[in-house]
Amino acid sequence: AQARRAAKRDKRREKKRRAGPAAPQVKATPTPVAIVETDGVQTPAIEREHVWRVYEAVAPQWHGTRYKAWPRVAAFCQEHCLGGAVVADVGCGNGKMAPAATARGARVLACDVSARLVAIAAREHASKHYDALVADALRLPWRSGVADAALHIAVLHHLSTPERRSRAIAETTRVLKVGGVALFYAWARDQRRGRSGHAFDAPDVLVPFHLREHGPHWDPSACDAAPAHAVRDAAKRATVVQRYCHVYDEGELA
Amino acid sequence: MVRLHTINTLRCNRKDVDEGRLSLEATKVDVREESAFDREFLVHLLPTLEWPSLRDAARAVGVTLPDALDDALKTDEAFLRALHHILFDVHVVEGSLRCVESGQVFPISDGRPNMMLPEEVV
Repeated sequence: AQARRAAKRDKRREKKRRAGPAAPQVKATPTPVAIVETDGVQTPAIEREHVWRVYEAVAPQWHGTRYKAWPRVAAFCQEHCLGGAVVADVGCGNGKMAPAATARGARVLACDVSARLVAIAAREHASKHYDALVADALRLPWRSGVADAALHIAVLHHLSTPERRSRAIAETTRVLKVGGVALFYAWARDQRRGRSGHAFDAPDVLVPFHLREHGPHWDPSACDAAPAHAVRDAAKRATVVQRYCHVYDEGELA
Repeated sequence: MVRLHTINTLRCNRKDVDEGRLSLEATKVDVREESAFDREFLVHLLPTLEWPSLRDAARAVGVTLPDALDDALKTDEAFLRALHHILFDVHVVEGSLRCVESGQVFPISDGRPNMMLPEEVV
């Protein structure tokens, strides 16, 4: 057993030696970030750089790794996305919710701020009743009262001020008809009951995402879309980008 | 692909416009096979349609709709079926939507409208 351990250790050292000198340390865990006050009308720089530009860069890999609607979202769709319903999917991403949302005959209007993700959503779900377009969640392009139900999944945690979150919620309720129902889903600060089992250190964090330069989802054109803050991790053959997230305390959205 | 019904739900969301009615220009259209007709759904949808815009959009793809949606039409089976086809089976692939109040243009490319506004006008 000792001999086996020694052999393993030697193999590890050899691998490290072959990898060359250590690359600069790349932040691999969420790190707190300070939010700068803005006038509230224009899109804050932190969202442009750490949300909009990140999703544009990671879209193909994001799509390759996000494919199942979450159970509670699926349950909402079962109840409210029925035949004869017009449903808005705000922040649709790669269209992950399309199968669940259209399964019972609902007509879905979907939008996302990332043109690359919208292209993926439209391509993947071309045969479904799912029309995807590019739009900002704070400036929804739909007339008031056109939707019976709305999905707003994993969008609110990308908004950096309370005012912007209120506007996003207001825009969604504007698009809903009276009596319509919306499901809002956002990241909680306390993850102790979740898979990671920890709480985030701060309410505003940058969460790293490793954009791999290999694997089934690698799209070389992603290099062109890399945001300014991206750092290459040579050892992992990946570009690390940081996603901005505001994580919510219980009761905060109320 | 963006259906005529979806286009009918859209508006220009600039802060300096009132209604934000959009005018469609379609340079490439894909007309698909008739999808399953749901009469009850269509009747439920009728009050939410912006009829003048729909009539103009239909004209942009070569279809003539009546000037107004009167009660007789709402019970005309043949008309409802035709309307269903226009709303849900006609997809605009290339074109644009223009705000009749502000002149703002939103392109439609590869079946996807881009409704993003420049920061100054939101």
